[in-house]
Amino acid sequence: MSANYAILGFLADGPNYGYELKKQYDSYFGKDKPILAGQIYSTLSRLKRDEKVIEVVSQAESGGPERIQYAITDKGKKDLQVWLDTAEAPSPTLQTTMYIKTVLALIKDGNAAPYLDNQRRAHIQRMRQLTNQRREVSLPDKLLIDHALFHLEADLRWIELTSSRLSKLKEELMVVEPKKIDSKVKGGKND
Amino acid sequence: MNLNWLLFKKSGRQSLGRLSLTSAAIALGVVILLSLAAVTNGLVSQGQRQNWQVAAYKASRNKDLQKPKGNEAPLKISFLSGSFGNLAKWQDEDISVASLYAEPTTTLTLGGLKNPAPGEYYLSESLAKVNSEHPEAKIGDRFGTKYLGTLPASFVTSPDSLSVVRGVTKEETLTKSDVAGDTFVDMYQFDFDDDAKKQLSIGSTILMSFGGTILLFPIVMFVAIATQLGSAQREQRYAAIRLVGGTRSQVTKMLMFESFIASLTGVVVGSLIHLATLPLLREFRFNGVRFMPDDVSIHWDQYLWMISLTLILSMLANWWGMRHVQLSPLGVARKQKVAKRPRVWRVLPLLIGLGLFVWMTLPQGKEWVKNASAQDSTPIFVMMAGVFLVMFGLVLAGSWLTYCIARLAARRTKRPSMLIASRRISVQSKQVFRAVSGVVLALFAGSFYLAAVGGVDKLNADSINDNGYSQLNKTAAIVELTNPNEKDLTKDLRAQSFVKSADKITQVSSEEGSMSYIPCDVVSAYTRHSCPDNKKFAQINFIAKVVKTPTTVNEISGKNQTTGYLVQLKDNASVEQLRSFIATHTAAIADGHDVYRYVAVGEYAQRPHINPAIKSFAEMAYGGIGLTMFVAVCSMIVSTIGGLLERRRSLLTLRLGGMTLSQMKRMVLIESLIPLFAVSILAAGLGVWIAGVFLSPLTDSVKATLTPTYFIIVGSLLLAAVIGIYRILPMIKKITSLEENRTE
Amino acid sequence: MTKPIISARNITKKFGQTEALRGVSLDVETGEVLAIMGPSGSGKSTLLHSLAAIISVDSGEIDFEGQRINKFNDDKRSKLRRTSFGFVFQFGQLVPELTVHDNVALPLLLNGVDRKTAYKRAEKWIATVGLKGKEDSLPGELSGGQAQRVAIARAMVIEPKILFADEPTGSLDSLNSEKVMELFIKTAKDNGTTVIMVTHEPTIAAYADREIIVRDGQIAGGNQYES
Repeated sequence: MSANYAILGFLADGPNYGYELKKQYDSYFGKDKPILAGQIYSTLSRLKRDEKVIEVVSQAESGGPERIQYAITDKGKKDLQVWLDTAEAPSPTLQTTMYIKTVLALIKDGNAAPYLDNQRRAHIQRMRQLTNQRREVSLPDKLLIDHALFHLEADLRWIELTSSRLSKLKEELMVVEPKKIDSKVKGGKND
Repeated sequence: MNLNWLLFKKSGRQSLGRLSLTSAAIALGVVILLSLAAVTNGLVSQGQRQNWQVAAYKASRNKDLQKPKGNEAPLKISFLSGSFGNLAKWQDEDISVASLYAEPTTTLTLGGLKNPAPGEYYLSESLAKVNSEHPEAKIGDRFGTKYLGTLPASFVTSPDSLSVVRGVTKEETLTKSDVAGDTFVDMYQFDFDDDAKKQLSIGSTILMSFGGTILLFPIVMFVAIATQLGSAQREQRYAAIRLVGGTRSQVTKMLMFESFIASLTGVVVGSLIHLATLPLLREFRFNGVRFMPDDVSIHWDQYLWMISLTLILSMLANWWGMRHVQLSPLGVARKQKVAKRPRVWRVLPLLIGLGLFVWMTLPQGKEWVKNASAQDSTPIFVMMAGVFLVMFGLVLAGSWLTYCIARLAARRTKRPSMLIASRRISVQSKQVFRAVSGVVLALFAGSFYLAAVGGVDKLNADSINDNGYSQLNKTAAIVELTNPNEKDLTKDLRAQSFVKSADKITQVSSEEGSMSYIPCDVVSAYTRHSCPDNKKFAQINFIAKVVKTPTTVNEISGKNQTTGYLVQLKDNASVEQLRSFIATHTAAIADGHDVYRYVAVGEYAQRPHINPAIKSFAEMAYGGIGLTMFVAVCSMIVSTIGGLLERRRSLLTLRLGGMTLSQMKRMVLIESLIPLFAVSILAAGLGVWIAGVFLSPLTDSVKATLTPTYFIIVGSLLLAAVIGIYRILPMIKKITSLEENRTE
Repeated sequence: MTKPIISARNITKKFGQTEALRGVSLDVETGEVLAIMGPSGSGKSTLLHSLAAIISVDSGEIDFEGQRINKFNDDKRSKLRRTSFGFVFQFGQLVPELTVHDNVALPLLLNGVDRKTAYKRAEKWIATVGLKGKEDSLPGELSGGQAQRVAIARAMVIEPKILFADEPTGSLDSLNSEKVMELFIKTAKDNGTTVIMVTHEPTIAAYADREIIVRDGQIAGGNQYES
């Protein structure tokens, strides 16, 4: 599901080829488990169907075969923005999504702080609800709520830490990552 | 580099203030200790110089003490200057006269000095100087006809001593004195026992240790307080070292190193100051005279002893203060100790001491003191012990008293600052009292001494009034001679160049003294009096107190009439010539008895005369008390500052809770002043009372008296304490400034 | 929207070269529990101290119940603190030389309340925080949680308008934190006391009705998220 928004996010930066999108995805989010090329193309075709991206045929510079680039549409941009502005429903297992949103927000707007603040509020709001609930429930339920609370707290700690590291993160992603992508191309054959 | 040294250097700046305080306190202590020791040495040596006199005195009491070794003849010695009356005087000062008679077979000498033949005499260095500077006074003529030279220093007590050793005729050794019977004793040796030295050192040791304790106690407190300063930060530092694996002995070494450097600095500075002030000390007059310069010094072994003791003690104090840290690496996190409240037993020593003095005011006690002091000096020792008991009893009981008063105040007060202050005092009474204990002790000792010497001031004034001779005009002298067969000297006197006028008077001796009958026509020429009516004689008893107007009579009545003269001198200095004239022109012996010859001049009689020992004691007391009080107030201020810094956090909390700055200042003021005033008043009162009890069996002339000087000194001490505390109040603003102490 | 009990407008504060607050504006409603969050050194404690009249701001205005308190002198501030504000801080808020009873009665005594009344009211509050029987203990004899309860009792004894707390459970474990916070919030809510607390712990902030985040001396992201 988040692959959709990842691709939209990458394209928000400018039109690109399917294969490049895979490489970009892998370098940001697929360190442990690279995305399959098929998954990229199926996602792209779904996005095309929903009119969020369009195909652009690019001229090959040296008269080679034509290649297809993809570009984001206005609809796609709007969809991406709504998604980014929406805090994730706080749950114990959404770290990856929060990370993806942070990176995409950085790529798209150069600033992830609004997203993180949003997310923090959502988390604390959830914790507040749980804290209030906890007062009226039995001890076994209380323990369950405690568990949830501490996981949310862990998220919040991550949010807090990430907030403090945003500028550093931005620097690394914008400057260093492209080079990493290159090296990944070379070394990719060994994988 | 050595780790200890490194740490010392790194923390040097923060510790500088504290360490210099420690050093200064130790330096002051060392100066006092060394000076006391030097003076004690002076006293002991002075005693040794008097050994031959003491030996003669003892022999006069117990003839068995002197036995010939073989067939040698004795050296006959007399220290009674009876035959000189008060002619053995230079201006105001007494000249001590030793009269010697040696047979050809006599072997005993004054340290190898040739025994003087009749008419020959030796003078002490100082008297010889006077003699050569004032040849017209002819001082030597009073004692003999042939001057042999100066006395060796070992037979002279002080560089200021005016003394004479003269040879006499065999005839003179046989004279009887009206007071002492036989005047000469037979001596075969001088160094027959060391009792004199021992006795003197016991006496002076008591004096010195008593004074020394009073002087040194505030300094010891000061050192203890200085080492405690900033202990919170230091504890943190050392605990951190323990935490990262520093062993106990390593930390101890660091502590010791630091305090060693501070103490050593103090000892060095103190020793240098002592050396620099030694010449001043040598000018110090005890008993009216200086010590022999070389006597006022410290032997190497004494010096080493004292400084090693100082170093060890100061390091022990430091170690004791930091012992908690050594116990655990968690020194930093150690909990607020729950201070134990002081127990009643602390009052016990004070009560025992007071009980002793109360008993001494009761009839039985008085009786015992009277009887016992007739035999030996046990009562003095007992009373000294009592004074010590009261003194340290006060320090011990102080925290308990503080606790009680604070409890009482807490129960009564309505003001929050007072309540908080008194609550704090009652919880931490020991700590709170420690800050003022020096002042309290100084007050006790000060009150004790000042009340004792306060009498001396009064004595000063009284002495003129009590001295009938002060009725003489300044340059008028009276000559009294007890030899009824003395020829008329009026003409001879009038012929002298230093005499303006001279008149014969008649003296009638009786129980009350000797009544002078002065012709009314000359009475105003020589005395401040005149005859109000037309009678022939004015009656003045110069030995009695000064009278407003003398009685006048027409007839001289009474037995034992002798002749005296009133002489108007050219100037005041001429009295020396008059003395020499009388010494050479009147008989010293009549009918085998000493003749009493007395010359008094108005100038000197109008000066206050008191026992120089009492006087120097008083001077020492004033000086000592000044110093003690200064140190005590200093240590109180330092410890109050230290206390404020340690309590920074809790003060901050109070400010946070809405306590205004002025409320807090009042609180701090109360905290210091409650224990100070409560115990001070007690200490001062006890000091005065005990001085009274102490003095009554010892002397009749000096009575414990509260003079204005006393109130000024004690008042200014308390004032200095209050001002000192008041001056540090602005500091509260700084250390509790909420801006400075934000925590983030 | 009701009138705020305390509001700050554009306040700034410098410590030497460091700008601790850079134009902070904030309204706090009566009875609201507000958490101020933010990383260390963000200025969150400075904000709290400024609102509580502990420190004076360089510029801007702070109104408390219609009074412009940023202009108050030290004595007036002291009075404000001891009549209208209560404090629960992480450390050292108890006077170690005074007993629990004294500590709790202290603000009343400073207000000139007579001793009998002061101690009686203190007793009531000590019971409320569940420390009956500990009146005569010294702070050194209490556990961290107990000390914090005493601090709450002492803060509440004057029935303050606003309760300021700075990391109120800073040194406590989870269970004790929970107990203290439940007590803290319950007491405040029961008495309608406004609470402003600084914390960096989300679990503590979750007790608040609303939180703001201070970053670099400014409030981050405004206040969009109302509960």
